[in-house]
Amino acid sequence: MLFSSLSFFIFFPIVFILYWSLFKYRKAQNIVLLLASYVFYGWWDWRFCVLLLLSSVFGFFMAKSIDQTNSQKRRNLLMTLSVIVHVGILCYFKYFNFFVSSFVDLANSIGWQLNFIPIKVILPLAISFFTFHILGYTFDVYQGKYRSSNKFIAFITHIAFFPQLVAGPIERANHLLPQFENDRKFSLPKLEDGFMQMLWGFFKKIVIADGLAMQVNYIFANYHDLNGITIALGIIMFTFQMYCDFSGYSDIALGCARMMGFELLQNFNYPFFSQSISEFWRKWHISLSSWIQDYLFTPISFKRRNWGKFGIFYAALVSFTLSGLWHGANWTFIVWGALHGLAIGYELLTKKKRKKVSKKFNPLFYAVTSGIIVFIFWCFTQLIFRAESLHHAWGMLQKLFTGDWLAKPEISLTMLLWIAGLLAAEWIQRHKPYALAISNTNFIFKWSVCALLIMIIFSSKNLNNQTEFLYFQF
Amino acid sequence: MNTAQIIHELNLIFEDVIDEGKVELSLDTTAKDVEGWDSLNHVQIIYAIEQKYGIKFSLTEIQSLNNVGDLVNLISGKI
Repeated sequence: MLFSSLSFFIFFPIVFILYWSLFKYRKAQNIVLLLASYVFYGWWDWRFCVLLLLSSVFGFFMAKSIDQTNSQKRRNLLMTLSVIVHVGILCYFKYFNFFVSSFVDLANSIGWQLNFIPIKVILPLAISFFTFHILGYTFDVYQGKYRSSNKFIAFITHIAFFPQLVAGPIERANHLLPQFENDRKFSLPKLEDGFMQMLWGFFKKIVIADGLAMQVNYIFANYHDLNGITIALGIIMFTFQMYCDFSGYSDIALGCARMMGFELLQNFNYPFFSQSISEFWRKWHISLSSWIQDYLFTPISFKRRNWGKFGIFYAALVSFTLSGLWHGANWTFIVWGALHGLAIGYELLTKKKRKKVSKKFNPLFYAVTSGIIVFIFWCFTQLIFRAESLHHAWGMLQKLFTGDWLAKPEISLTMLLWIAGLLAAEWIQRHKPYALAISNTNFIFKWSVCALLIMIIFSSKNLNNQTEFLYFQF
Repeated sequence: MNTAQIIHELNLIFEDVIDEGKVELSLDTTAKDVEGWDSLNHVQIIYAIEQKYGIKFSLTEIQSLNNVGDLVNLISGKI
């Protein structure tokens, strides 16, 4: 069920009323959320629910077994088994065809004559998100960070919890699970704040991301016939489409959960004001980058700590390449991830030198220049991320640099104005958790702004022409 | 070796690895309180401590540290 669909606008109020009418009965509230989450997920395809349930049940009992055994050998064995099963399921559904066809291509390029007919596998929505959620929990129990849960219903509900299930934030059990194990209190200020964050998310998704989608799709499909400046603006527009789509989803998820008394992890923190790629990653898809940091980067860099800075460079490269692969079975994602790993490795190795250089310039000039360089690098990698293949990305890059830059851009000015408005609002509100966090302001002002946004959303022609959230495919 | 001595030596290690000027740690200090103490150089700090005292940490041990006090206790337990 899409957040921005009519079904959700009927579904959510029913769940909300039913949920809060049972405020004295926490267990009953959890069951309402469990059933609602499986209905929400099964709305796409009921078969997905089976996999989600099996993964959750397996995760629950494996963590329990790990927790209950004192033998380190047995703990290692159970942890390895968990990784094999969860990653194995992910690989089967998401990467099987990719790995085999890549191997066959490689074999054919060295003269072997192999044939491969891809098998038909349905990719279950959200599989990467809930797999990482469950694996993170199992790792934490294995490392003794906290005890396994004894509350089965609370556990499987916190995995399936519909606001965060399909595209995150990738929750941590120690953050979300206690909220299911304790009573939630109805709070009017939280309800208002949650509503505003949802509204801001809908605005970013429906008005900006969906508004940009049509032009971006056109530019990426017809770049052969377009001039350089149009392609450049198309890449920038995709960068903002992705941001508004994904951070919009996260705002809706956080707002929706807050209205029911839950706090999810912050997933975005105004990334476009970053002055380094490392900083960008601390502000973009924060729940994934912190997952990668805790479960990939730190273990790898710790293992290679005797390599000095190159150990950290190596860990950054491997972790980010794998995070690229997490996004999908395509070489574009792997190259995208590797480029970010290289950029972070470069920043690490040149940290002292860059600090010395920065002292020679005016701080404001240095900050703005660094911000622009980071933005250009991000846009460049977003081109690879969005392209159908590396060949497609290369073709667009060639056309970008050889195409006419003085011609008239073939894009809508309105959308560029929306982007400028978004950045202005974000800059003003950059110390708040989200740009429409105005619940503490004057009553008339805040509700006038909300009414205006609702009018803009409902008068938007994109409302009848919505696209799926981009991160659903991951 | 007492706590004050370990903290004094940790100050020197942190200053050398982070290279952001003088560092003054206390038992309650966390990564948020020290400019430049981020995930990228945390492992380097840990490695420098291992070298200094001739000890070894496990991944679980370093991931369960909440503040400098935890780190000092961990070091004292191993030397």
